[in-house]
Amino acid sequence: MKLTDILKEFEQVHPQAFEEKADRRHILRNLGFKVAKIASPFAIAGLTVNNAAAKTTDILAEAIVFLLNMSYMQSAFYTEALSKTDLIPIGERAAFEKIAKDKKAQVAYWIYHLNRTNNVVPTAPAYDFTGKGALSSTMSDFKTLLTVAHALEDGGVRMYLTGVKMFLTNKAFRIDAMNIATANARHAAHIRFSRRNIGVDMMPWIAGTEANSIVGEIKKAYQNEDNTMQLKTNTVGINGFDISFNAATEALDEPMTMADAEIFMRPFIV
Amino acid sequence: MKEVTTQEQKAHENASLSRRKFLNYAGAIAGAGMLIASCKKEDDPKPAEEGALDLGANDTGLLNYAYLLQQLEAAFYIEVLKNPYSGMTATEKGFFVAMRDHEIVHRELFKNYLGTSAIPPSLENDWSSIDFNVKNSVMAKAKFFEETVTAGLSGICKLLTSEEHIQVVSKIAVVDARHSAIVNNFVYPNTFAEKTDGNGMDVSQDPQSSLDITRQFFKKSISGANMPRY
Repeated sequence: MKLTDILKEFEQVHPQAFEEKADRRHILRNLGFKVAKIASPFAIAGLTVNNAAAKTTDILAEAIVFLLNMSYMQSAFYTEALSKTDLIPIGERAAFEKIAKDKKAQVAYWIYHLNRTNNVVPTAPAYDFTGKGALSSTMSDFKTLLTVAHALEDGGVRMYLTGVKMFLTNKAFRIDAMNIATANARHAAHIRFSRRNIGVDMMPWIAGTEANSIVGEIKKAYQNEDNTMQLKTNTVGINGFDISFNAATEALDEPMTMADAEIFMRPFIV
Repeated sequence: MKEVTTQEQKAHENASLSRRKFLNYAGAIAGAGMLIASCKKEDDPKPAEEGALDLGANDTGLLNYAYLLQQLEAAFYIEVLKNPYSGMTATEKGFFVAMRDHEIVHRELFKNYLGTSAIPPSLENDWSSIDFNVKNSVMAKAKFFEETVTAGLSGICKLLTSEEHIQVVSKIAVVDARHSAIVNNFVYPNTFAEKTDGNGMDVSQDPQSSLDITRQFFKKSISGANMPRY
């Protein structure tokens, strides 16, 4: 790698787009995670390590902890749902089991890498998927379960988009985060499809901020999803094509910042 | 937790998986001789063949490939809706319209952003392998395109260097993954994530092998010889 590239890469690890280190750590702690001293350099066989990357160690481990945090929550959600008899209709059970299996594997994958890099592996906090009573029937009524599921899925996709950005200096983790993001987008699409099949007027993609299909706390999964400015172009009616506001906002998902993720996740953490 | 693999194993699996996929596709295509011939590829970067459209180098080349993929998807859905297969339901039509509109947004975004570096718009397609009058043919190709584009965009994300580019391509990739999941479900129920691996991940595809399976849908010869490689 040329020196100029390294310098360029190093500059890019301080984007304004995400929070300063102290804020990130504060948020992770609020979500019940200890972020231990990070092993340095980030020496994993086969991964890109250079001078710039060594200095970005913190953000790489924090990204893993952040993403693990969401995958823990999703995995716990499906595990709990599958443990309830008569909650998930027979025809939907296989899909829920498939999603649960993927989430569990994603959790295991990040734990594996935290261990490999001598980082503390945070334990999963206890969850309350009623949002401390706000959605009291999450684990007893399938419709409510799907409502919470699609917020968790869409929120998860959006957090992984933030993760992709945090892995800017590390191709190997970046592609892992991408491949989990698209797998999770598949889960999200299916859950939304299921919800549509029980009569909710919605599509597998996120329109605006979902104001019509979501209530209460979980609306916070959708803050800023109604963005229509992409690469400095307004996507509504782009280049004269008949593109509605809904189509424009559906066409791209938006990353969820750690600060927004905290606001969304807190009600579900005991 | 034995499902966890090392990066090396994973890279190996990815390689064999994409090879397997490629052979499946090649087998499914009439007149696959040209494709088979392209299998032995990938020595050193070569100048684009005479008359071929060169996608370019660096992030620009990768974004041009993303633009090409979005041209393909948009043109496909436009054609599907222009010649609806017999028996297309209102629900199916609604999904195709939405997906077409998303693909138009993606296509036009890349076009605007690339500006004078962009490949030409509206490259002519070769639809000879698709029977637009037959639902199964259309659904099978929709499935193939969405899977290919999702995997291809992720592969592009691995190689891009600019944060802005990575972000916009990843934001688009997850929506194409949503399309892919739902088209899969249309083809066969509950197959929304049928290809995730033992790590709960989709399997991305490198731009070179992705181009190998998409170039057949364009009349013009297209070269990715200068695109960054895995």
